[in-house]
Amino acid sequence: MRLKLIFIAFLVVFLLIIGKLFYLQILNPYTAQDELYLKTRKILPQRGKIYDRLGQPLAVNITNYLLYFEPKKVTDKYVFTKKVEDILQIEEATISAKLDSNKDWIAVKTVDKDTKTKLEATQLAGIGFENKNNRYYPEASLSAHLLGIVGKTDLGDDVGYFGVEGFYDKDLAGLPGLLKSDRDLLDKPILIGTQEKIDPEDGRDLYLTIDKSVQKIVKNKLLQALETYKFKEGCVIVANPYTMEILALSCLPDFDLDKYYEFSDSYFKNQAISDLYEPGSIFKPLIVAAGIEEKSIKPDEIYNEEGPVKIGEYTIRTWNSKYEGKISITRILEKSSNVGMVYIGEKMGNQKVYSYIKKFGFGELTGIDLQGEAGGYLKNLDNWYPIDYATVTFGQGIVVTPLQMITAFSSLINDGKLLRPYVVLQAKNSDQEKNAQAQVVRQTISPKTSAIIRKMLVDTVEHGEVNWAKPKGYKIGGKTGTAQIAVQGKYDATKTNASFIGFAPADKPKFIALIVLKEPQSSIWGSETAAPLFFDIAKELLVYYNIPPER
Amino acid sequence: MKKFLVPAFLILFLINIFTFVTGINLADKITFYEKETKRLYQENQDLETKVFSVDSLKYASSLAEALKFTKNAQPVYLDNLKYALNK
Repeated sequence: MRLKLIFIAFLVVFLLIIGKLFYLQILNPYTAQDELYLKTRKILPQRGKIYDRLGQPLAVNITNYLLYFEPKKVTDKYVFTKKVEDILQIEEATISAKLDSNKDWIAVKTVDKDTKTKLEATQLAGIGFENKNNRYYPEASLSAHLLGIVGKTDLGDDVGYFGVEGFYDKDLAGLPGLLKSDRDLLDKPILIGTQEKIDPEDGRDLYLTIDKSVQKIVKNKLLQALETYKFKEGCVIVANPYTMEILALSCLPDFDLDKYYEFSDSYFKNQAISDLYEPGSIFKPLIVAAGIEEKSIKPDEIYNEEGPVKIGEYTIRTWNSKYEGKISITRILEKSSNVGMVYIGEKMGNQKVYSYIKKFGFGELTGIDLQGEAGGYLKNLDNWYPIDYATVTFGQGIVVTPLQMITAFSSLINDGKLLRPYVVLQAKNSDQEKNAQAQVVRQTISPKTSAIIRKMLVDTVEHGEVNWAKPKGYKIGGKTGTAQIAVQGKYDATKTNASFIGFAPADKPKFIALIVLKEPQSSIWGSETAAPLFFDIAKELLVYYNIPPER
Repeated sequence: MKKFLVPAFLILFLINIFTFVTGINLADKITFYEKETKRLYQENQDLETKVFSVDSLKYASSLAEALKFTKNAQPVYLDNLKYALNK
């Protein structure tokens, strides 16, 4: 009888449980009770890593720890302060100030894993850590402008700004996953409950066209040049002229990627793609090439350099006010004759000069895959005056970005192909791979004209006004530029943009490099600042690329 | 009836206990592997960071500076060996 009673009692209890479950799961399944055990958590994807062209890491992920104190849990403030002071190397007064008993939680600083381990070993109550995903840059700020930074949105999510991080943010960010799991009070899964997991899709890894060794050479040389020439800003771009893969890009001043928040916005601007400047004489080969292509001039044609040229109320002179009389077109380039360039412009005609400037891509974006590119500015044809057509032939009165300049110049030496420059060679994740390829925008000049202009540019380096310390045994082509900077509508003769664009080896260039130094103090001339820097870099690159001397 | 009910009740009771304990064990294992996966991921990331750090040009430069290696090695081109070809 007693056993029957117990059995009936159990039966009643089970029926009650079944009844309750029937109510919770069938009759009224969507109540607040759901949230009691069901934990929904976003699983963050891993941000894609960035490597150089040889697979060497430039930006990877790291977990840091936000150290926080819970002052109310601290039992002995003196012991606590002493132990923490030794590990964190923070002054005692600072730690004491943080231990405000009125507060439940106070953030202290971000620490690495070793520091976290040391602090945990003290077993002090009132210390806690919160995981933080950050970027780690093994090469520090070697490629600061190129990489860009990873900041936070209002919601605390990672977002890339500037450079590759900005341009490829969606590829790098990936897609978050979701975990829906019924958990008990100890956060252990309840197996008969909901257990759903959608895996996150990690961001794509990017392989850049940059070679970190070339980047290192360029940055080191640029830093040395800063000490020697004391320029205000400086940029070096090195590219493969046949593909327009950017091999190195470095600008100064740059910023510390790890402490980017300590720098003002102006430091984040990549001058190589965002700054507009008057190119000066490095623009001349473009006009000469256009003249040869249009058969308006021949390389051996003779021009009589008699003296200054008058265009309306303006007088155009050579840079040193010296005139050599009868000279060839090649000599015009060698001695960088402004009046000679005006002659070439006049022989071509205004319409053709303008059309070639457009053809070389000025006034439009190059389409590089970096955030923050400026397109330059080219006036409408209606707003061009005779003096504009004259000055543009020697690179004044037009503004371009350094990247536009090197892109246009590359077409002069690569058989006339204007290419879209790019910095990402490959984007890949576990199941997909996207490879970038050289993209021809248009043909600017014929291969024949390209060969002629390459030879003229070699002669320009060989017989130029300055005898540079060139790498021995190599044929190198190039052109210097010194453009005065306009200040309040007038050119200031003491402030210049000094530049040099060169390529080597001349017959089949392995690289082209553009140097732009803004307001150098040691000398205003490109031939005395940018050109020596180019040859310094070229010497190292010829060795790095294992290019033997030709003669 | 009594003979049938008592063993049935005991079997159900034991199955219930077994299921409950197995569930707890499985939940423990899941929690353990969740933590372990996280720890291994973290350890892997830390090791990767260390490898990247010692493999960097920055580290090599700092070592070179400390050892006072300041001069660049000059290349010798075999196809232009002047001293060997001079007659």
